[in-house]
Amino acid sequence: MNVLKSIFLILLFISSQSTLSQLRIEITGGAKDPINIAVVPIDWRLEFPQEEYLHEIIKDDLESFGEFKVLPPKGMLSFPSTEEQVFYRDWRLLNVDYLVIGHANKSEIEGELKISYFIFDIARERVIHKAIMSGSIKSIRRIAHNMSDKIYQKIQGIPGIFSTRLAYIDKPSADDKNYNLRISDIDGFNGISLFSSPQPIMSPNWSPLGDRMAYVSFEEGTSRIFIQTIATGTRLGIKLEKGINSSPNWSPKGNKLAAVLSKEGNPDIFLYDLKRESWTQITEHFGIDTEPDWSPDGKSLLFTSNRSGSPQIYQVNVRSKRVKRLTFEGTYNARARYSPDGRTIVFVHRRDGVFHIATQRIRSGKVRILTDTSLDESPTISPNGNVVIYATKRKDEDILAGITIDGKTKFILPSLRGEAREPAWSPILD
Amino acid sequence: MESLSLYEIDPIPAYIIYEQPKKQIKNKKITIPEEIKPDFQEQQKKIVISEPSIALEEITNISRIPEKNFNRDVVNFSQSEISKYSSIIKQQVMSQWKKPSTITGDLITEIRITLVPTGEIINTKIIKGSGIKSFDDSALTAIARVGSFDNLQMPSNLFEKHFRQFILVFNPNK
Repeated sequence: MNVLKSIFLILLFISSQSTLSQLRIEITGGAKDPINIAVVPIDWRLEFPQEEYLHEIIKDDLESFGEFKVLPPKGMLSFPSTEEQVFYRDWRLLNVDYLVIGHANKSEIEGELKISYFIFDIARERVIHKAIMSGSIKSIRRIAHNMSDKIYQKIQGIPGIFSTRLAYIDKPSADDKNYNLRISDIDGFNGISLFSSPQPIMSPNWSPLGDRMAYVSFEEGTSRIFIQTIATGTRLGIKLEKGINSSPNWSPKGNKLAAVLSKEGNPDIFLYDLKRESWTQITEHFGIDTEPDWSPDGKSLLFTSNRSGSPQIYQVNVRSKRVKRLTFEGTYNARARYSPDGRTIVFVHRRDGVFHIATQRIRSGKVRILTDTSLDESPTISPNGNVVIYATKRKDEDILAGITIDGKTKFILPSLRGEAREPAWSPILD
Repeated sequence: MESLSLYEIDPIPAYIIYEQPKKQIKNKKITIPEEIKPDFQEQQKKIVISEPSIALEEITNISRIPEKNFNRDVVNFSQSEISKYSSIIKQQVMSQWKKPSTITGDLITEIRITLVPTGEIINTKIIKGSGIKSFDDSALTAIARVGSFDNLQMPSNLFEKHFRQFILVFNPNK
């Protein structure tokens, strides 16, 4: 027993010695360069030509947020389309980090195609993902966006957002005298009008499954909240109360809407139960409470209130109705949205008379200004938490712009027509 | 005795050193071999009688100082070398690491690296993962991209002691 014990102690001593004495080198940062990826033109084994090239759509997707640099086909040494045709050395010479190859075949199902594709890690010389994606021949863009999402997820570790959609309000213009509620792909393609009216439309908000949209319409002469099913176009006006009915926001479970009513005289936050068709009051204050946003865990709401004398962001617990002020920097903080992890808020912050989009960590209270333009408003966060799209002005024109949450990459959404306001990012759609 | 003379120290403390051996020799009746006898006797002559307490103090001082100096020299020498080669390694890994820009939260991955003296990486093993696969993979990819460290020619005892195997701690939050 004693012998065993001492042997054990000696072993313990030796092992602890070796780990203690082992040199540790801390790697505290990485290269600033984007990830180099090569997307080889997909080997098209169908009898009709491609209308749009998959690799070009994927290239545009991956480069849109500055994280990837895509090698164009003219810089490639070979065009492999199967695993056996890949020579890692060739791609290492081109300084490629990841390689995507694939081939498209006719599916057994009429009008569909199948794309087999592979993602390679060149440095580690291995396939990190292989899959078959099938879809309608007419929805090449959708298939390409889905492939981009997969590539993004495999390399970056969070879901890609290239298949998500954006809702926004188009104000009347010379082309169109109506307000339009539109939705489009995140790159501005495939835009459609969900609802059109000569009276204002405001505050679009997606249901958690992305199948319905809540918004405010003035078509009846007064503000009223409507719910519209996207696929069918069916509209439902929800129970109207006296005064303002505005800012609908779906609960994560989709069974309730938070909204603003002024039936008691001044605007407060209420919840609407979609099943019971009844309203419950959440905040009660003589100040203006508005712009609610549901936390991802469904336990609390963000809202803007001027109860302290200037607009600030507050958080209210839905059950206890206890209110906590979150913002303290500056005299204008409004229109807040939770990040998908619920730990950060994105909002409109005024500094030196200029309206910026800012983020704040809820726990630490640390504020970071993201945008440097003025008159930025209505931020909406991507469902993977990585990008913010907001409304701003360029040469007196209403445009939508975006910025990554780290502030490194900015972009504008040029292909959205007209005067776009109030962007709302969809959840991840299946 | 010899070690003392190495440091050019007056042999006063030898008195203490030889106090006990002398007795033991007597008690056990060990005879001193002929070859070393003269030397031993010669040294014995140099012994100066002094107050034992002072002598004791001196010998403890003396015996400590040289040992300490000796160790410190070695440690100093290799610490600057260790940090020199560590920063060469660090630089090469950092220039190849493209960590997912989307990663938030405090992620740390520890990877044990095994090298051969040419600087070539022959083995990598995650000993503590971050829990996020793409983060761990980005670290492994960075190491694979390095492949073989440049400018890592060093004395072989230094290599064996610290660089044949070491741990890379990927900690972007620091």
